[in-house]
Amino acid sequence: MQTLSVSRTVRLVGVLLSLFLVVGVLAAGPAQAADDVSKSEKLNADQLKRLAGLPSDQRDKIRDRLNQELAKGACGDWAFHTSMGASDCETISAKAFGSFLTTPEKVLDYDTKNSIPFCAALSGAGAPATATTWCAGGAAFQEFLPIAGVVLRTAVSTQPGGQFVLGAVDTVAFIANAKDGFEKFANSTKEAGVTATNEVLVNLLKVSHFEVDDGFRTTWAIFSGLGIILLTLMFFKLFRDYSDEKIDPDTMRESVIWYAPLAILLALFGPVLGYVANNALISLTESISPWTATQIGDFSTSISRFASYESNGVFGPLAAVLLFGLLFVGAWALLGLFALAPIALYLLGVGIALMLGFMIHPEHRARVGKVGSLWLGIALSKPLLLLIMGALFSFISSRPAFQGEGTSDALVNASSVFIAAAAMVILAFSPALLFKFVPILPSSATGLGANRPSIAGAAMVAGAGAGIGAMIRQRRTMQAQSGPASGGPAGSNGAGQRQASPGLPVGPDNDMTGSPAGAGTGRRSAGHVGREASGTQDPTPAPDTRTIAQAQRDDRAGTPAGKAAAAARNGAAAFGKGTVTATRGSAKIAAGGATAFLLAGREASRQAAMRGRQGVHSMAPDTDHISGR
Amino acid sequence: MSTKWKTIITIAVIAVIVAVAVVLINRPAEQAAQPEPSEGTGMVAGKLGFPVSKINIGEGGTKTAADGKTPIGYNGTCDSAAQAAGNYTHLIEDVNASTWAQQKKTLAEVGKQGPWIGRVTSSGELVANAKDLPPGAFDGGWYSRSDVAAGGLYRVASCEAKKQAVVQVFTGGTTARVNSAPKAYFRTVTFELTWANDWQISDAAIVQSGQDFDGRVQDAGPTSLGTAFDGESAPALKNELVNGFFADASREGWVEYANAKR
Repeated sequence: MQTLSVSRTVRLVGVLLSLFLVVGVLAAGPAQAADDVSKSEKLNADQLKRLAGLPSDQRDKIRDRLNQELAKGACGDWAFHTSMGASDCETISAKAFGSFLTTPEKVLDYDTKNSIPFCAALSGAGAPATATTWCAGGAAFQEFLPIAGVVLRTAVSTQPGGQFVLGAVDTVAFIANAKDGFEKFANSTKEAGVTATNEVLVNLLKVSHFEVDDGFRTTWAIFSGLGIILLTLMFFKLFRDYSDEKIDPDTMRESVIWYAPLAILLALFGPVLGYVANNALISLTESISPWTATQIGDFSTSISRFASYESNGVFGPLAAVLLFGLLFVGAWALLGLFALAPIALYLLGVGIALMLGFMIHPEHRARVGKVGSLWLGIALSKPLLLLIMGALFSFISSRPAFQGEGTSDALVNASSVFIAAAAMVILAFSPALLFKFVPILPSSATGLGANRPSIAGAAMVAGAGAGIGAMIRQRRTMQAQSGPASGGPAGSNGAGQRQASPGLPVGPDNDMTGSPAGAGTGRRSAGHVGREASGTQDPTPAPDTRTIAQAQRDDRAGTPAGKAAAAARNGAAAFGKGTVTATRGSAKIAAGGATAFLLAGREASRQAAMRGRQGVHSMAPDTDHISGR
Repeated sequence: MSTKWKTIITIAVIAVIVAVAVVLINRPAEQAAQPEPSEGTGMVAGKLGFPVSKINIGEGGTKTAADGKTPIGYNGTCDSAAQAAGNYTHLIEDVNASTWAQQKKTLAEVGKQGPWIGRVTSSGELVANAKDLPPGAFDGGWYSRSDVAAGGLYRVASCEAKKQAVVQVFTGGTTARVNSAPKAYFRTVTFELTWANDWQISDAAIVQSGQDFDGRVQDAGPTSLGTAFDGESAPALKNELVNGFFADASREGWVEYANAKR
């Protein structure tokens, strides 16, 4: 089931990404133009979050400043101003507002139509009797505006931390007097990179909202309807396989009595479970986001420092185009990642509804689990990403280039841009690794990133992970297709099987250069011989004393010879590319092996004995046991 | 055999999915609830969706008060109460240092004594008694100048002909601002009128948000408080503006004067 080859997928992703970038670039212009603030504009959700994350002394200063603005508005009323007489209207009013508007949020939410709490607070603030009488006597303000728009922006931006809350950055030209087209291009790249990064980061949390709502429920209803039809068909297949003795009675019992009702229950209560799980994750995310917002805020300060960078020594126009371009790509890729998460959750969710019927058949059950765990993985990835982002950005903000007055060293500055850009690129592509360990499709169709050229040096780790992931998957595919009885991790005797098979290919190179067909055949018969001490041989290569389950599976999988040939073909196809670019492939495999060695610490002893194959098995999620065998 | 079986299953599954999808998609959409045809109120709906009455601001009286411009001498119907409320609004809303004394006299002429007088004149009294006149007066001493036709709406909360009526009037106007240019405003003035051979003010207030005029009105009425205008004089009302004004108030019962500015 070779669907899309790796390189085609990568190309497709590349085209989509560049389209996305082009759209982003085109949309960035109007968005910039529409930046002038409307009169009634308030702080948006992100700005409020950043405001909430400020240190309390800065929040207090912003609150006092906003109360001052409210006081100015109230004292603009001629009657109230007159009633205050010779007193300092604005000071006293600000004090009165401050007595009950104790947080900046309360000031921003203050309803100017309701003057009663203000009037009540006036006498406490030291207003003259005429003013309290006027206020309490029912005379109302004629014109009194809530703080919004330009007034709000001006008031907030003049306070420490205010620029960060508003997310405003002014960029200076990288090259003061751009002479040729390239220098102008460097200027615009820098401006686009810095503003895009800033805008994207401060608005990041806006785009990633996923909710299990009525619309989702309706879609789920339709898809689970189809899923139940599939369930019926699966029953037929289940009964047929049972009558053909492909399934043993235990499995049959389990399927009919446990998984079938479970599938129906999940079809009914899936959205409820999804709602509960999603809400739990949303509250988790909400508890993390203020901290991350603060870190992003500090990082924004760093970004605003980028804005003041000018051409200096080796940090010339070419470096600027490359580094700020990378910053631009990283920022948008991060935004794209967060934007895609809700769609992925939605589609995977309805996909689960469709696949519920598969749960009753032991052969297909694992796939439902994989999709389910992928859904959970993506849902969990948001809080995790936020945590990692916070950590990364706090690390970046603590770099020497961002401390104190900064530095004029061109290389330090350039490398700080590079670190920031690389960090965002790594973050943006990190979920691609998720697909490595949750392979939904049997072949390398999900091999996003397997052949992806490492953009950043630090992304090499991700590349290595991708390499080992591809290895695992191809290996698993081959094993699956050559029949699980040949040594697949089939339950409790799986390990014994593996250890008793001398014909196992050891190490990845066997597949690259050796003859997988021979290896497969040898593996198979040796495995059975080793296991069945008194094994009487059948006309077919497989011994007759297999357990019912193994016999069923073997029969289903066809003759072992045919399967081995298929495995050989598959192996050759899968590694065709690798053989052509042998150097690159083996480098990747070496890196993958190293990573596997590092990661699979608890399997270290077994790994030492059976390095390649064993290591691979210890990494691969063993899903066969789900069938109960 | 196995391959064939898989193919057949696949085809069957796809056929079923397509069939079900077709059925689901073509399922007749639930009949959208037909909007009920609005009941005829006998009055024509105006531009802003309020019914338009036949009465005009500035009419209904048979003579004028001492100031020479406030109509008095109404016939006692509920329509005339709405006219009287509209015609008396400027006595409460206007503040001009030079004409304040005259205005107070007129207010006493068309109103009965009561605590409401102190309330509605408190702003004007501040200006009249100020040692230094507050800055910001416009057009020769004006601090607040109403433009009832700009608001142009009224609501009769309760009315018994030739006895008592509670009427709310939505008026526009211009108010002086300290240290900046004058601004337009809209707000609701609430009257209680009592019949004493003519409609006389027995209570009046600018009811503040959250209050209900001792239970005699259902809400404080619309206000532009919190809305910013560009011009000095009250602008022609548009739907968006009106929707904002009525954010905290019910639209029920409000009627347009025939000569409202629209």
